[in-house]
Amino acid sequence: MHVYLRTRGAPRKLDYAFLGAAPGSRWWDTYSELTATERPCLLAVTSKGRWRVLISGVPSTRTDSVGTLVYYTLVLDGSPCPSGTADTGQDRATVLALASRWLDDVTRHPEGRGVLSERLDSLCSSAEVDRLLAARNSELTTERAELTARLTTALASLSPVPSAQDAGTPSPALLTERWIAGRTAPGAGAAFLTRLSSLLSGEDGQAHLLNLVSSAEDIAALPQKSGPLAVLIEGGMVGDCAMPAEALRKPPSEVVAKAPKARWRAAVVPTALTALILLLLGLGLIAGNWT
Amino acid sequence: MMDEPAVFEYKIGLLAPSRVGKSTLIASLLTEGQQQLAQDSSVHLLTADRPTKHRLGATYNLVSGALKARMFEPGLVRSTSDPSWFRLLLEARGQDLRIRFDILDYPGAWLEGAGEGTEDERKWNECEAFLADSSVLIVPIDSVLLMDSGDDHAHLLTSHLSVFQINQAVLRWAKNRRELSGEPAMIVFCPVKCETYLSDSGSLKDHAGALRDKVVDQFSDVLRTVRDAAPHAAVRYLPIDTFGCVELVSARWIRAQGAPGGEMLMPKYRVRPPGRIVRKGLDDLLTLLCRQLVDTARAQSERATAARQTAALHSRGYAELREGFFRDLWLNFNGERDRRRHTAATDERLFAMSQRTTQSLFDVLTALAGRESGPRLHHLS
Repeated sequence: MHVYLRTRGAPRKLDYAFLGAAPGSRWWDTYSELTATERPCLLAVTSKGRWRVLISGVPSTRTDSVGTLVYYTLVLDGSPCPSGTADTGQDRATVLALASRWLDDVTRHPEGRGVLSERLDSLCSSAEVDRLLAARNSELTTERAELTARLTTALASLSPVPSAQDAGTPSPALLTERWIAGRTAPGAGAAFLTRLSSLLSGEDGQAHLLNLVSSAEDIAALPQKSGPLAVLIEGGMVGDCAMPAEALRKPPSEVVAKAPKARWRAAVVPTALTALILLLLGLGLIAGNWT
Repeated sequence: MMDEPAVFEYKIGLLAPSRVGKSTLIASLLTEGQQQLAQDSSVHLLTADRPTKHRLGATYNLVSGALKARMFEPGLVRSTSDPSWFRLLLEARGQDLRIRFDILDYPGAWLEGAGEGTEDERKWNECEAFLADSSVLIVPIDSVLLMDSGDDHAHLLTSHLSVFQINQAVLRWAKNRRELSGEPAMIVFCPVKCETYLSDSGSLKDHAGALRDKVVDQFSDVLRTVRDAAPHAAVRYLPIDTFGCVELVSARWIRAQGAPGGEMLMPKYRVRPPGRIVRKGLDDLLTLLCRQLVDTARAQSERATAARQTAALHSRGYAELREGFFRDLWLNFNGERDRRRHTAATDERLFAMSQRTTQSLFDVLTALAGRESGPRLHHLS
């Protein structure tokens, strides 16, 4: 598992950047119409045997040059190893604990201040953040590696939030393959973590906590990927965080792929094979008569 | 097709380093722009899509909510860590006419380099292309930095204001605009957070002249770049209040690693009672933008009209061309004459539509020209 941490420094020139190494791609840009990374959000995608998670908008106690609170973005990625491998379980448990903590922090404080904020703030001082961001990427490599190691240890030591007894009965929509719900809707948090667990085990799909979404209509802008989908509405500034769960339709591409085209192919292939066999038999007979 | 409104699409670029107030300016352009243009009969402003509506709604809720709870802070809007696009629509009332303009928000420090060979640099290249392709370039400038840095730190101003980087980006924009010299081009220098320095927003002091002089002095190289590379571009100066109801209490330099000269300016503000947001200068900026975009659309529409007129005349001439008795008989018999006449009629219809669009744009422009500009707006060219 790779872990990356992004934040900003106090001087205006030290804008948001990764303190250590940066992820190989800015994969979260495809979700920019659905979530603002400056406010609490979570993105999780598994595709082609690789999972990727982004947790952003985690508030720090540090401020920048104009007195605005600074926030963190955590990016994690990894590959689900074959079952029985020791590391796999640890990575999965770490990310699940992290996600459950983050959902709990967002529920307890509108800005998301909580355990995760404290944990990240304790990793490095304001002066250290400024020093790392002011240096070139090729400089302070030892300090950057140490910070990443501290970060990995800090995240691994997070314990998951004990599952709370929800006030209401979970909606049946949460049992469907694709759903959207407010983050405080009964059973939504637990269903979200279950879905995230599947993604971390290697099942293709998506699970997101989005802050620029207010209804199922907004999900049309979501990148079309195969597999299940779970969307929690963050609801801090946009949308209702208590919106009841709603099942979502399958993307048109999946429906089309399974329906007439598949049937057409199913009919054509045996017909073509039969014709070919008959042709070969005919040719064989003609050749036999000729000789 | 006849019923579809004509849509013109343009880009507006914002050029400023981090923490100057790009995001706040974008959000206020729509939220207050809608109110101000509501009094105008010619155009109205709306969000072009749901993501923009949600993004602006979130910022509005954040600022208004804090103000009502008396927790107002100037640095309330969190800084941007990833690029985002705002898409707005300017609709002409009573006309099938829309002008869509996209505004890009991005991490300001990318202006000074987004890390060589990184994914951020690739993304910044996209942002740079957007800025260079913009019809209007707005340069927000931190007025507190200009006015309250003090003589001891005057030598740090150029680097804190990122003048060199802004000049580079403006040069690329100006060269692009020169290649499109048939299209109007405009650059607006907008000092922001000006409520402390201008008496028309409630300040006891009036430093309007000093503020303008400092902008012209600090950005003299940028002004020269525009004049040399795109002489046809309009250059405007327009100071804007960020919230209107806040006032600078103090600004002091503190040690800061990574800042130019190892120091940064820390301003402190207080809220002026009753704490109601009134942003002076924003109405003029909106009028400027509307006029510029409508004028650009009109120029584009005129070119399209001229091209369609030529096409319509040519196809009508071809449709009615006499090619000899037997040939004409054959053309009538095989339906070719009808096909040519149909093409000519389509081209004439397109020409008429284009003429109507140009006339509508001209009407809107005339209405907008009637809006009086405030005393804050100055021409720098």
